[in-house]
Amino acid sequence: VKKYLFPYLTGLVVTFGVLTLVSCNKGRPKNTDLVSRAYQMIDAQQPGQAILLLERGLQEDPENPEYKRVLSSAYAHRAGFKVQKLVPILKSAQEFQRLQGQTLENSPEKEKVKALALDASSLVSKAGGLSEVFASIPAVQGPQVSDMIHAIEILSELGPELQPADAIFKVILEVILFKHYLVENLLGESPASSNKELENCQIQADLFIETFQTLSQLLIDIYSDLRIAHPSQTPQFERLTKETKESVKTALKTAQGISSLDKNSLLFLKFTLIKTGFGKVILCR
Amino acid sequence: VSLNRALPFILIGFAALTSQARTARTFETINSTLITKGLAHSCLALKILPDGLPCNPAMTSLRDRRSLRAQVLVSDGYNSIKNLQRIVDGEVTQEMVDGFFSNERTFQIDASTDLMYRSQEMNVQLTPLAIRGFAEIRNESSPDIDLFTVEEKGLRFQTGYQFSEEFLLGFQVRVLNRKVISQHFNLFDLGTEAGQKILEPTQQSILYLEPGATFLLGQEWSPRISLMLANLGYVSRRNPGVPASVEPQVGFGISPPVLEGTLDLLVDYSSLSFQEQGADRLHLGALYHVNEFYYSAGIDAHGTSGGIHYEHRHFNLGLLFSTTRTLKEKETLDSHNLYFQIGLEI
Repeated sequence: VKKYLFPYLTGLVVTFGVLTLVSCNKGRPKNTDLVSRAYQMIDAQQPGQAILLLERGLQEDPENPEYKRVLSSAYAHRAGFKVQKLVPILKSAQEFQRLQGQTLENSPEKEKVKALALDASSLVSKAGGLSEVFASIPAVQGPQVSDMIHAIEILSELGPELQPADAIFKVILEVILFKHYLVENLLGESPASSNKELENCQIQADLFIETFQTLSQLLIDIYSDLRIAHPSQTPQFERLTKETKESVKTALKTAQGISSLDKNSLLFLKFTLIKTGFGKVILCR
Repeated sequence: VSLNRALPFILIGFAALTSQARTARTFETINSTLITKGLAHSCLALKILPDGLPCNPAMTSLRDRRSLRAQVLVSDGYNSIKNLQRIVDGEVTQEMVDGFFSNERTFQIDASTDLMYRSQEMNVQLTPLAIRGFAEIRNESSPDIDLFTVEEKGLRFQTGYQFSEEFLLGFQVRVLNRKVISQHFNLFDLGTEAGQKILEPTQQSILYLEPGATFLLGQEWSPRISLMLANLGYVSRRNPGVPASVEPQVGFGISPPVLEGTLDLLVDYSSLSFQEQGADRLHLGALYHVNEFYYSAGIDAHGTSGGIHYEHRHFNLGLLFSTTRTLKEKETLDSHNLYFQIGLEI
């Protein structure tokens, strides 16, 4: 009987061995799938390597949408973007929503204060909340900006292959870039230390127009991408796009008329710009 | 003989050494015990499964005593899954999200409670709740997520009869209620209109009637072949993410003599995830029983596992180490898991 059963045991042991080898072999990274390898590189904080890999892949297969998607995310990662950085925005947005629901409208104080105070309180609350949301948007600087722009361009190249999730990702990158342009070119304190000094300062109308156009285009792109992600809200986004385009026209007309303003009007405009935080538009020599 | 005696220990050590191999001891449609997982689910030809109902109902009549048993199994990773759920629900903290992307990026959970009545005539298992889940997150810039979660409640009934010294026949009925989420998506899908339904579970009502047979081929070393037709029955709503088709399964086992205790060497050919092809359906396991201890070891295309189970009078306790790896093609992520099981039996 032992002779009869010996082959069973031998077979089992041999099969164990074979499967072990198969299993060990499968355990090592195969590194055959380009997208998976790129994911690993990105997660290993090596987006540059992932970019090289994917660009090589795109040379062989230029229209591969998956390669483009991952390449875009690799550029975004090199620009400092990680999904973890969205947590502060989510939290401040949640807080903003919470504050919206906690205005004096529902408070026992409502009877004691005038409507004007209520409105002012609501506005301050909204402005404060929005300011927090704005501050929590990740910042980019230096070479990160061109990587961010490139990431957005790659997604734009997807054309009809752009999926709703890609559109949301693109919106996020565009918002980051929007903040960058706003902070870099417009937002800031006045370089003038006195009113007299301010009189000699110039309004950089060209910079204002250029930045305003860039920001408006980014906004229009954001609305367009949001339409892909939320098709049922298309009319709303179309309306916003139209309004933005009209604002650009109005702003251009205003900016072009700056040179014809008299001294007092110019000073008033400079004060207004400083008060609203657009100090960087004013150049003092 | 000394080799036979050492074999289970060698296998357990081997399981630890090859822990980089792909494995999964948690599957969407499989509610299994600690020892079954330890054996890499190669249990069809196991005559008596100490911590559960026999994998093949034909083995029912081989049991020599009646017992009532309650046990709980839980794997590590519970916090990760809980955190993932909180993120999905919008309860986010920076530490939680950072933790996801600084750890292994794979998260797994397997938890179940079972009540069993076992006898020579019939076995009944009531599972008030079993939860199984797996998630893998890649690319922290635009996260790509594989996710399955299964919440299951069920009743399993088995009966069997030994027609002759060589032939046993039996069948089992399984009544299950499952809530399943099985998705591959991008995190930003959740911010889209179409993505609002991604995390909605599919509800399934299932009734399986599964026959099994075992052929005992001899006395010495007790060679046996075990056959079963699995997943034969009705499923109210198919979910392509959780495939489970009718499948003929076959197992083979021997019990070579050892100086002390008993040893079972087992091979099964069966599908666990329904994604395996050919030889990937082979599962090999060894169970060594000495005194109050059961040592299990298993290996298959999914990976390796090794465990210890202790039974003392009414009390039992078990620990299992395994590696888990997603079965999606060309994946390279591994995670290592511990399973813990505790129970009472009267």
